[in-house]
Amino acid sequence: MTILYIEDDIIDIKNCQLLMSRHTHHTVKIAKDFDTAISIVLNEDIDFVISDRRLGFDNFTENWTHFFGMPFFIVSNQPDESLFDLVQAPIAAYQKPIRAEHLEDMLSAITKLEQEPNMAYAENITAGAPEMLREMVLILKDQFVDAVQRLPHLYENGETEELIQVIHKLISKFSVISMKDSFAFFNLVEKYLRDGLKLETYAYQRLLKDLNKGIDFINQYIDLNELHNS
Amino acid sequence: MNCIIVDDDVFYCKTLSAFCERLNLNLIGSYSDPVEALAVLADNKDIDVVFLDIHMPEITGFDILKSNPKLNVIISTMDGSKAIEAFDYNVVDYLLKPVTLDRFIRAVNRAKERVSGQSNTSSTKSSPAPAESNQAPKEIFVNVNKRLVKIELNNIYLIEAKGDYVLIKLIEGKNLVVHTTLKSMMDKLPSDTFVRVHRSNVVNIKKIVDIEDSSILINGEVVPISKTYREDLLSKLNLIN
Repeated sequence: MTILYIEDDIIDIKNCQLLMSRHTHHTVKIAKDFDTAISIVLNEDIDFVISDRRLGFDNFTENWTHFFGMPFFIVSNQPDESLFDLVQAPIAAYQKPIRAEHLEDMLSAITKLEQEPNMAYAENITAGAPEMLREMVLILKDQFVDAVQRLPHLYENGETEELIQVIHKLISKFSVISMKDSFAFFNLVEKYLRDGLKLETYAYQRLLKDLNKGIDFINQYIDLNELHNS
Repeated sequence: MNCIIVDDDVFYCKTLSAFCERLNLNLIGSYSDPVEALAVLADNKDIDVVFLDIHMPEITGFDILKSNPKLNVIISTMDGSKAIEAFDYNVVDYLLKPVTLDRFIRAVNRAKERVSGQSNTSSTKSSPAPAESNQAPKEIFVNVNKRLVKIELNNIYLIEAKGDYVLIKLIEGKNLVVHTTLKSMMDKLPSDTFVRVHRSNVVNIKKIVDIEDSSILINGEVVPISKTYREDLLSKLNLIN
């Protein structure tokens, strides 16, 4: 996994690097300010973020929308409940300094977010009727593909109401294919947009990423079960 | 049970259709266009249950609920936040997508209970309970100059057809003219008491004094009796030959 650690205190950075040295198969990238962190999130494949609550006069709660859609943990001298009032709350918050058990907790929580899509719901509904299953899987694929095609236009032109409608229709489809983290994320995005917040670039990228992951899974399922349109 | 599905998402139209098929429900139609569904609802009064989405373009599920308050509706939606509002419309159940078969079955069972309760209520309304049906009504209400006037049946001795009206002759009180037909009147009157004796006359047999070949004396008035109705009249009298 690749972890982004947002921290401006050199002692805390060294501490984290020391702890992570025991986990050689993971990579830690460091950002000492939020602008750098945002750039890294947008341009590199990051699995999760660990962030200090405050970097000098800058505050994570004032920048969180740029990380919306990215799993994150907060480390702070004084974590407080207001962190959990954010539309996307941190998975957990810890008091400094980061300890080995904190890191274990974080890695364990992130592992649980990994998604294993399946088509059990559609299989149950259709009760083994192959033609109906084929029909439903192809409808699902069409809806995912249609969303991927429409999202760029809606996002770039600020057509928020239409964007909300497209997202709303997709939420339960992620549940249908058991992509539970995407289900939760799309749910949050709908709430976020209805609250009048502007969708930042990373969240938009993640929408597309999750949709494409869904399409990849559906395509694999179609191939495996020979459900192509005749 | 007759049902329709209204959902702009074709995936859930298919899902709910599959569930209906598995439960042997009579699916009249599945509509992804709520405008089309509204027209169907207006034309078809035999729909027992509607599976209804809330968030649809142009017309929401709540718009359909508002315009069809007597429908038995099972909401099927992604939005859990509208449940309280939906139950204000007395919906049967509220399902969250993706709907599972178990949950669907529970909702359908609730709908069946409600539909069954409604048909019991309506049958009670349309025909009296057996114990009551044996009891003849003791009065009727008639519309006289836009007033509903109660008449004790034992106060009526004769009803005469007068074109588009009937004249109800009473033992006590002023006779009444009502805009109706003799047949309609007879439908509301106990057939063992009120008997047709002529094309234009119905008499209360309890008020008959005597009967001759072609006439009846009733409350001091002579009323003609036709051959066609004579036998029927005689069959209803407590007659000793």
